[in-house]
Amino acid sequence: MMVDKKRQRYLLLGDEDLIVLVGGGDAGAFAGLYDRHGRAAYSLGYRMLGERQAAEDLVQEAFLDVWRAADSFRAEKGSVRTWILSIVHNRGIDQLRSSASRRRVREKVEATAPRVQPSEAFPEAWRNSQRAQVRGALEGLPPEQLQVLELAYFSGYTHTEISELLDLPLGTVKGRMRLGLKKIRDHFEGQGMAVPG
Amino acid sequence: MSGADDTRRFDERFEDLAAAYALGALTDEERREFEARLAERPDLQAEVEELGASANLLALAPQEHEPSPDLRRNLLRSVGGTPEAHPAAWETSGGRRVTIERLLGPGGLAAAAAVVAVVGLLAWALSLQNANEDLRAEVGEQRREAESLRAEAGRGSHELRGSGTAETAHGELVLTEEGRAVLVAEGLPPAPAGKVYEAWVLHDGVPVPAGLFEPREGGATAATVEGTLEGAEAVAVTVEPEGGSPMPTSDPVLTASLA
Repeated sequence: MMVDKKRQRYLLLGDEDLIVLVGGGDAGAFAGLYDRHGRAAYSLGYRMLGERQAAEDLVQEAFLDVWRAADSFRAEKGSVRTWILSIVHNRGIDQLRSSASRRRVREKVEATAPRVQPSEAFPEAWRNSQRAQVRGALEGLPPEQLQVLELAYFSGYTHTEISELLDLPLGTVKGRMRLGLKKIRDHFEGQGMAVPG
Repeated sequence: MSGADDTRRFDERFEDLAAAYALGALTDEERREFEARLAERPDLQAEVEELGASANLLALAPQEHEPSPDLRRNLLRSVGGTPEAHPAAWETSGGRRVTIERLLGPGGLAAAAAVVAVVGLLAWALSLQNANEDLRAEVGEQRREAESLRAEAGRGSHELRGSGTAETAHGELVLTEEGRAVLVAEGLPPAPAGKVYEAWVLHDGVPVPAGLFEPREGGATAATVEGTLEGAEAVAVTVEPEGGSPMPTSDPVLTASLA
């Protein structure tokens, strides 16, 4: 697909440059960031809220936060993508916890993720490969650890709530969280890789 | 309770709380308390950041879904722009006007586009004029090899584009008849201490290691890409720990799409 020249110039810039431009009010750079990370943000929102409209509202609010707070981005804390996804995640948790009719059911471990088709666009293919690495790390977790991580991260349950939900001692839940996260890190380090930022 | 008791209690609970904190699984009150205690214990900060980095990876795990085009439209309307809007210019604290053109360097976008399009062996050769004689001889040999490969190739070349820490880098991926390739680039900064550049060939979305290299002084580089490019979608270069990685651990600084 041909990309027009005005849009193409943003493709030449890295995320950290785009976020600087967004901080200065550049709507084109903002569109560039959305084009790179909007789908991942929406996929996370959809996974957390389970409804298309709710996920879109969540992503809209999160990206408006990005627009308003771009100046506060600090590269030493992690990548732009991680920053954007953490905004989506935090907003998602707030929403899950504040909703009166929290549609929160006992989570099942997500079925093996379908293979992502390679994209024509290299950056997309690259992000897909990182996603595949992460999924590989998660597939290596014992199911009981993965379940606790998913209940906490995607469904917004606190450790105390998970303990009640699964009828497990609180110490067991905390231990599974700790071991699960450490196993993810070990998965990457075991292959001589740093945990992606 | 004494301060020492307090510290001991926190240390005992730290590991469990840190994992729940990284996952966002503390209540607001617990989170505030944890953050307040953590602020007094910089020695524990690194472990919290490590757990946080692992937790953040979960954001990449969900199956992908496509948002509706309305979302993009609404967002851009909300910020008062369209994708086609002219890039904004604004004043920095020092009164300097900053534009996307400035970020892309002197001469603006036309120059950037021209550099990206035209650059190749010629630009690379020109850069060598500033290198010392020994270096010139060494790189000249590699250039001849690249030119010779190119001459015999008949399969053309693909543009290499820089990004991230190497956004001003550029060059060509020269293909041979045998499906081999030589990566010829200019403007690559030296790899950080303890790091090296690693080339990758992307097959079906999976990066396959294709060799390590260091740019010469001045940023000129000619490196053979290992492995076959048959059926590959792209070639990329990332910065990796010394000795290389089996899978990339950072975003690409040079990419060439073969599609």
